[in-house]
Amino acid sequence: MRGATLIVLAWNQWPLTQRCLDSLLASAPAEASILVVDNGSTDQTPQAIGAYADRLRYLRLPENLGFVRGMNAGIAAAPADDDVVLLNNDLVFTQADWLDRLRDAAYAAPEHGIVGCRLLGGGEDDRLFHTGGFIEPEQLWGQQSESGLQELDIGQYARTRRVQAVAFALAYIRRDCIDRIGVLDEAFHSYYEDTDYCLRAAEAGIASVVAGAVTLRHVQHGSTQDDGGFRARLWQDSRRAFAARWQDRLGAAYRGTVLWQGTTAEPAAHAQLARKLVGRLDARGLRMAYAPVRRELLDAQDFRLELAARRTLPARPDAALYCAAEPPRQALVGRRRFALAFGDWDRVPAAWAERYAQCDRLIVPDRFQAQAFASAGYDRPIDVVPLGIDRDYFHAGARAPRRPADRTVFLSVVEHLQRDAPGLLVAAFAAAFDAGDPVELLIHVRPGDDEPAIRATIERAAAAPGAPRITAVFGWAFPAQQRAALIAAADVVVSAQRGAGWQPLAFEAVACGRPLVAPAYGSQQDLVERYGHAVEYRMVSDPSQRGALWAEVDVEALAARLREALERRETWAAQALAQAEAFAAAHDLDASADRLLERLADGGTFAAARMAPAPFRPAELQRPAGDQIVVLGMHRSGTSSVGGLLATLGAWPGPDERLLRGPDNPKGHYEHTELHMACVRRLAAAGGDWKQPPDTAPAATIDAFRREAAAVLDTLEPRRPWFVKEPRLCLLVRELLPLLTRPVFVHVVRDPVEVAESLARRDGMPRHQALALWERYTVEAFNASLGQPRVLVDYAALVDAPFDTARRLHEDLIALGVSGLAAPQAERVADWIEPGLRHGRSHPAALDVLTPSQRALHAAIADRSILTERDARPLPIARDGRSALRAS
Amino acid sequence: MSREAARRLAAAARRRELTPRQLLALAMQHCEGGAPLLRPGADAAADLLLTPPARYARDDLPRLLDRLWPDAPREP
Repeated sequence: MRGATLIVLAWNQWPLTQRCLDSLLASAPAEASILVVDNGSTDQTPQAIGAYADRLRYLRLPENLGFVRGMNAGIAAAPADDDVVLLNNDLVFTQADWLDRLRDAAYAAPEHGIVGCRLLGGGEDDRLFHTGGFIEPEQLWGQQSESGLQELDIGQYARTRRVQAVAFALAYIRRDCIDRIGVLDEAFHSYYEDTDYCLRAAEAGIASVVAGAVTLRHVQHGSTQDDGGFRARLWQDSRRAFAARWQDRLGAAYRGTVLWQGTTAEPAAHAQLARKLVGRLDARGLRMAYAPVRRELLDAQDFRLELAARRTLPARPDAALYCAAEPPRQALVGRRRFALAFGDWDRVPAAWAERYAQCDRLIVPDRFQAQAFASAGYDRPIDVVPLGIDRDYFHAGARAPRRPADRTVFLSVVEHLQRDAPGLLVAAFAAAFDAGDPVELLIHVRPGDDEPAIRATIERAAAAPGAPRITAVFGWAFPAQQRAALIAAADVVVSAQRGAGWQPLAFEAVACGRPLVAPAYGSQQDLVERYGHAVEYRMVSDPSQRGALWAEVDVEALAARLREALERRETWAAQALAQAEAFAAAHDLDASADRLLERLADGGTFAAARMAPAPFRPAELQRPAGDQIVVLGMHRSGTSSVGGLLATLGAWPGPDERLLRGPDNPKGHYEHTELHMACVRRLAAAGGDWKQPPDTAPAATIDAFRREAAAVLDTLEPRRPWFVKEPRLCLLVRELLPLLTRPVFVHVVRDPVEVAESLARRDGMPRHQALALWERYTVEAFNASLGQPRVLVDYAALVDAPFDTARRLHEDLIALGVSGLAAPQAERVADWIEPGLRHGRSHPAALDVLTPSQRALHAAIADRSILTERDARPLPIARDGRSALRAS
Repeated sequence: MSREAARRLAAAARRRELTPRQLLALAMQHCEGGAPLLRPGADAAADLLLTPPARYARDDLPRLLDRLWPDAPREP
């Protein structure tokens, strides 16, 4: 069965190589194929490697050919169908299932071709040196993370996500990616070859991704660390080669220029928007420049923002985007002018309306803010762009460095004395609890002018006799990216803020799965009402803004909520965790950046975007099929009939004694018993079965299934062409993709109402459940085969015209390159397919019972357009079908 | 230095548990470190005082929590 060859490139540094191999052999699956390519080592490597001879292959090159040619030699020596995993010899494999998780990411979508992982430093270093990077077109200084920083690992970037480039210290490369774009370019010796490869892949529609589920350790530059000058020369040479090929093309990707005028200091909300959106807009093709609205030390904490601040300010940018606490005092300079703004009141001051009137468009985060500006007389266009959270940091898996075990920690972050009302918060906390209660209020006071007054307020309350534990931290700051760890260290996040302005903390708390207690007011109104625990408030005047109202929390109501939070701690925590992921998915900052870009570009602000290459699809490669056929179809759809038909064409289902037979299908299922049982066990281990398919599965369950299935497929390999058939594979075959070599998928489809009627007869299943299951199986099956060679067999046609259907299937398979099939013979086909096999026929009007999504799916199957769809279909939430909103 | 500037300097230094001289030295050090929008000399110190002290009071959160909650269990 096809696998992946792990290629370890070594050049001297035997102790590093030895440590790498020891940890690799301890963690890699027993069947993994390991190839050590020795780049002409002159130390003890050639002799010492002998101790590992029974576990790996060894390829010795005559001299040091460099990283690129060394790795290419390894790829050439790997089996021609294998995927390859390029590995530096200074990696330490600290995670047992790293290879399986890389495979999951590699085959999560047809266009994924290159997979990297999170890399920590060597030893005890808890900084992340690589989480997937990018290269900026001016200095061509490749970054190893989106922020450009070596961030402390707090569990960020835990998902599989697309990146511009991955470092080839570790890279899983799918064979079809190599088939499409070739091997590493030998114009590079070492360095830049990885970014070059990823950019070449991107031009072919192949995505580079980072598997967030894999974290390994990498001793930086371990393989060349003993000669800094040599490394510098290699780097310079490669950089020149890279610049010649890519610098102009990367620079030409910019569609226009934008000057962001804002802050990296205070307020924190506006500083965060600069940190999070300047870089995202730059990555989306806008050449960003940054200027502070007041004098400040740049506190970028983000490479792209720092770059934007260092750029020469454009004299007249295509767009000016203003984002600060106060409205602009001077004219904004830009061909078009925008402001991203929000205020703290039900109606912003009239002066704001006047000063923002110079903008072509005002962008606000929600309808409340739109109304607050409109109420003040602002009559220019207002666009609502919801501001989401950075899901790569703020998620339920964010790690706290420490968490008190003996008390419930309430966290609040305050910055302004009046707006954030810390006085009301500590008063409520003191009213809710006393010194004996197992609680702590942790208030992080952000640096600023109000710090002394806030400190005095809190310390007074904390020092009162019998006061509960109140801890305020001052004079602290920590990198903004670690805020998720602070939230994770708390049990409940609480706010008593009067101001209506958008505050990221509340959104981040919900995304991290922490209960939120706050007044449901202003930009937080919908959030608190839907996902948090609202506290009553009354409208009061802001003394500093005449006539403007904001919300003052009711101290008694807040105290009651805080007590409730303690009493119902476990219930609240479970609820908050349960809603975190769906909330984060619906409030994604990347979606905010996309919408912001749309608004800025609206009306022709910038040059048209370049067309992105069409996503790569393995079916488009000109290469022979692997003579491996997978039959997919919902239960009761006729997959057994098609299995039998394939057998008459000479495809092998396995030995007779291994095939299932049962009373519900007297002519045989053509299902391999062990594969069937593996599927049954896989669904059961994830808490479901064929009727109630689970939405997710523990990684170990997937790994066990893959190993069981691989053992079955190994028994079929000697007799290609072979086929496997099992309706549960509709749900599970994606997990087997790494094992298959250029498979062909045969989708068997049947009228969904007939399927439902058949299931009602056999299993007594209600029609709506059967239809939901049909939809789930069918969508999962077509999503799994997306981009792969595939054909479709209609069960009705098979029964009505068996020989014609058999002939067409045979022709389709031959056209896709399947070899070794016999032409269908009329007698054998007629003997196998008889009209009585079709247990029920539906009337066309019966399709009226289908939901709109089921009807659309049925229509796409009926006109066969589903075979040429280029995107995965979303899985709808269906009644009793246990399906979830989950696309590939 | 004006009376107002001296007052702000003293207040800012006190908040950070530094002397005014230490704070100014730190500000100068940051100027020489090449922060892009900073002008040299005394202006830089003024800039620093106008800016929240995120730069120099910064530490990693784990170390801060170590000091705050020395007895709380560490998470792996």
